[in-house]
Amino acid sequence: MLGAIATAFYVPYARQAPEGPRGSTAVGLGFGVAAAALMAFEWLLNARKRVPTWNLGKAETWLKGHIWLGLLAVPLALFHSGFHLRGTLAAALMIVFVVVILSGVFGLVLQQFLPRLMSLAAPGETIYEQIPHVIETLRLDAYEAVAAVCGALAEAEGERAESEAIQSDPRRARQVLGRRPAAAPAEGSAPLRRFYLETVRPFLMGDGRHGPLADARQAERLAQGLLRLLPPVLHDAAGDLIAIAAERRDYAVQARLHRWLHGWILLHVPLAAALLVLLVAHAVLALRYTY
Amino acid sequence: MIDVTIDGRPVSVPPGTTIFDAARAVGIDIPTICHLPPQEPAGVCRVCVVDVGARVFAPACARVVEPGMKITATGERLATVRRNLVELLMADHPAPCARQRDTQDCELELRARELGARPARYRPGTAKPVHQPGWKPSDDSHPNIAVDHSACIVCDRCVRACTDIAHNFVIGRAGKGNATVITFDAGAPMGQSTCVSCGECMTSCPTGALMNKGFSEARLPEGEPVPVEVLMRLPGKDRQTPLFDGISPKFLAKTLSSGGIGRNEGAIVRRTFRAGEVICREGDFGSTAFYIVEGSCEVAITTPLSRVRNDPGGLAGFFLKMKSRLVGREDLEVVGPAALIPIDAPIDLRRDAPVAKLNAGELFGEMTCLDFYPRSATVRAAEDCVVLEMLRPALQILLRSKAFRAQLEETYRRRTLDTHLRSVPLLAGLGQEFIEYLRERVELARYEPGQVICRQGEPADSFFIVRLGFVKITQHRPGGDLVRAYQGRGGYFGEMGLIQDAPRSATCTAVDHVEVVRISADDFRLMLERFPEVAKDLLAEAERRARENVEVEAHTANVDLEDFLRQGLMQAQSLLLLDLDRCTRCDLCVQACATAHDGVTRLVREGLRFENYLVATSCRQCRDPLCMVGCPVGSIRRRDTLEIQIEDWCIGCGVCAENCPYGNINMHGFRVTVDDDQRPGRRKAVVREKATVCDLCKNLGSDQEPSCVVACPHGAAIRVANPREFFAARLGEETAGRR
Repeated sequence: MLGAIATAFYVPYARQAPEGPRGSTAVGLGFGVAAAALMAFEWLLNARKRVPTWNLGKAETWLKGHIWLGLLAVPLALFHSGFHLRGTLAAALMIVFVVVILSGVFGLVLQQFLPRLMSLAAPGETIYEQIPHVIETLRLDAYEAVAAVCGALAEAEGERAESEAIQSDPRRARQVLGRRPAAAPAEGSAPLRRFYLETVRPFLMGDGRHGPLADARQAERLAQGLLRLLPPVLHDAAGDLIAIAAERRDYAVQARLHRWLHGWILLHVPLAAALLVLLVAHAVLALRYTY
Repeated sequence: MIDVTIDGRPVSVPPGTTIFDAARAVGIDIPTICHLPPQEPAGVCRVCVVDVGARVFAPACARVVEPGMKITATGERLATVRRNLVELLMADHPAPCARQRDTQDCELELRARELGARPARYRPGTAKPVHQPGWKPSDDSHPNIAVDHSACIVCDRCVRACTDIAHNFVIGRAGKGNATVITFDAGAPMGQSTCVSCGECMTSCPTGALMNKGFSEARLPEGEPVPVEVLMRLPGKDRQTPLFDGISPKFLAKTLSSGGIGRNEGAIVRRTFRAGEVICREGDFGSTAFYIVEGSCEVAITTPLSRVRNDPGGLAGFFLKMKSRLVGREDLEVVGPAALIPIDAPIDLRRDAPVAKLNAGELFGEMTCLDFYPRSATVRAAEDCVVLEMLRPALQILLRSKAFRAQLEETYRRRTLDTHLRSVPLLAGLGQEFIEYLRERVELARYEPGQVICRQGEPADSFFIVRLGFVKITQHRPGGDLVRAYQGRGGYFGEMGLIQDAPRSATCTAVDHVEVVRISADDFRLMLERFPEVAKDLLAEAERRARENVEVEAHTANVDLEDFLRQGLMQAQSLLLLDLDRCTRCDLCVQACATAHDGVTRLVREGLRFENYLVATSCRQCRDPLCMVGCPVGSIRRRDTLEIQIEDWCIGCGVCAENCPYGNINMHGFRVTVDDDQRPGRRKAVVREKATVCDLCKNLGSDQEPSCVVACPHGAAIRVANPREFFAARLGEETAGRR
């Protein structure tokens, strides 16, 4: 509606202006001031988020305002400039403005489908900041699951020491499964040990995106192969390892989607700040040298 | 009411009353053996038979009165029949049995003596083999209970105690006719059965078939053991009646002395405290109760009466530091229940001055001793004093003393009844004159854990106020019972049936050791007549509860999802849901919660999932608020609104946090300064904990939505007032969509 009104003003103004539509005319300046006001308003969303207990309306309403008024700023800025880039500063301002708008639209589009995708692709998701801690716990759980049937593993010295330290501390004991290493390796447990040391452990220590376990289908094939090599009594331990790997895979997916979901802000917000600086500079210079 | 005549005496009782209870109401004591109120009558011994004018005599314990019934409960004919029955029972009972030998209180043998029965008149029945693997005539396998089947008269009291009262379902019957025996888990020795050693069967057994071997090996760590002879001479509060009056000296000696079974030796000790010394401290876990023999004590709550304040924002809020802190009391003017803090002692503490005095002859720590609740207050010796500190077995014996019970009741009526009645908001308007009237008329009744106080559908004959413990209120619905509420000290129930003159609308069961103040229907109605304001409020409350019942019924009828039930969502009254299809995981909801609560968030963006919704870890304001059960000072409660509040007098014991099935209550440590016990007159800094729970941001303004919801820019956070309806509607839509 506001866009239509602005267009209704612009069209006769653009036709009748003797030198064509320019920012220095009264109407052009009016469009510029309105666009600048909207750009300034866009920052209020950030301020609103910082005072969530103030009775200023729901953040959802503020976000809608941020989106729609931000989009409205686009025609207003174009009407202000008369669809011309006059001067380096004005050109830079317009380019930054367009990038800010595009990055915002990009973020908006991502927010429409990534949350759902994350729920589906990483059903076991946890709080993003907790992922490293949870992975650490998985690493110890995997060690304990294997050590419980294969005995303490000298190759996984770090996990062994940490597991023992946690198990002996009653305040932290709940953080791990609490299984004790077997006194001697169970019969037929060598494939499990090898699978853990060569496949699972490196996967858990890595970023979760590389290695055979990073792909669900390949992991399934590996699991089937492992189960064929193990006596039935060790299938539970193997199942634990496979489940741990699947969980790690979920966290990798979650982390990747989370970065997409929030990464665009790293572009959007600094550029919006730059836009504000350029806007002030543009206003000061334009007003000083035009009038 | 139904009018009947018993031995020529007219009596009017509610429908459903048994002849046994009706007779008791007019002071006629009908002898019985198998009936032990409040157990459901079984009518197996028939010793309580009465003549109702029918072809055969009827058991008084099981037969319900009928209009115009003329009952004969005494007389030679009945005495002969009863004597005969007892003689038959005695024929299969070794006389004297172990209990009679030891404590002279075998009910069967006492009854036989009373009725003039001749024990040897009948020959013992021929023993028949018992086809139960592992069954032995004498079973000593249990650490605390000795079983002697030869003394058992199969009265069923232990079976009903184990099944109906304790809900353990361990004891049953096996065999037929003369070979009928009681069994544990279908034939296992008692020590190898699933018995949880609650002792309910043993205390129910009328003979020496189930005997106490001692409750535990527990000993009090310090204190001077009190010889049984001294205990027996110990005077009660009136300085005349012995404290243990009515308890058999032999029973006491056998139970508590080293010469007896020895297991409870040292279960009661005498301790001397100097003025100012701490006897027990709030929040500590313990297992003993204290009886003040000499001197007096000061009982107080020393944890600061403060809370994590909700910050309303403003300019100061803008620059708010994310730091937890305790702030002082803000609403001291609160009246009603909030003005008093219930504690585990005969008195309540005033909120504006939470200190009181306990005098000689008073008992405290009963809940800690019986149900292992944390200590609710700190008790110091106000002057040099002597106390008896006792473990559960000793307290249970003491509570069996009629003199001591009378003493407790007298103290309660004199010191607490006024404040207790007035602490019920609806009864706050009662006049002093009427309270004086009630003072001697109310009845104090005790109930064991699991025991039913009143049952849904029964005629309403009393109004109850909880004095001690917690009562669970459930309604029977198709598909299972629904817990409606828990009532702790100061809670009340039973008013709906009386006001609406209808049967009980719910079953009330003791969760732990419960004591209730019972006001009879007549006194209740008199109260309503004399205090129209109270009547009006009670009526409004009854109507509100009735409306709620209808609402619950409507809501619970249309949802039967397994997941929904498994996750406890049925219980929720205000559920924080995050729509994961819209939530960008920005955590603004968590940040808003922290900002609204001075840096301490009550919300964690983790939890169970139901469809695309995440049920965040945030208080659900459950219909069945388990968190409220066990709070020793009643500081977690609902006011008149939905939200759960942690009141300022929380002592940080953490029971609520442990009881919350959903992990939605957190404990936060705070540095506070308290009196230094080691250096009198000085103070020291210690870390005390307080529980925190979502309060729906009510302190920010009653009309404002919770901060987490307001702060979500994507509309993903929603507070659902009625999860049943919310999910049922969604599922309905989806089903329609699939069609």
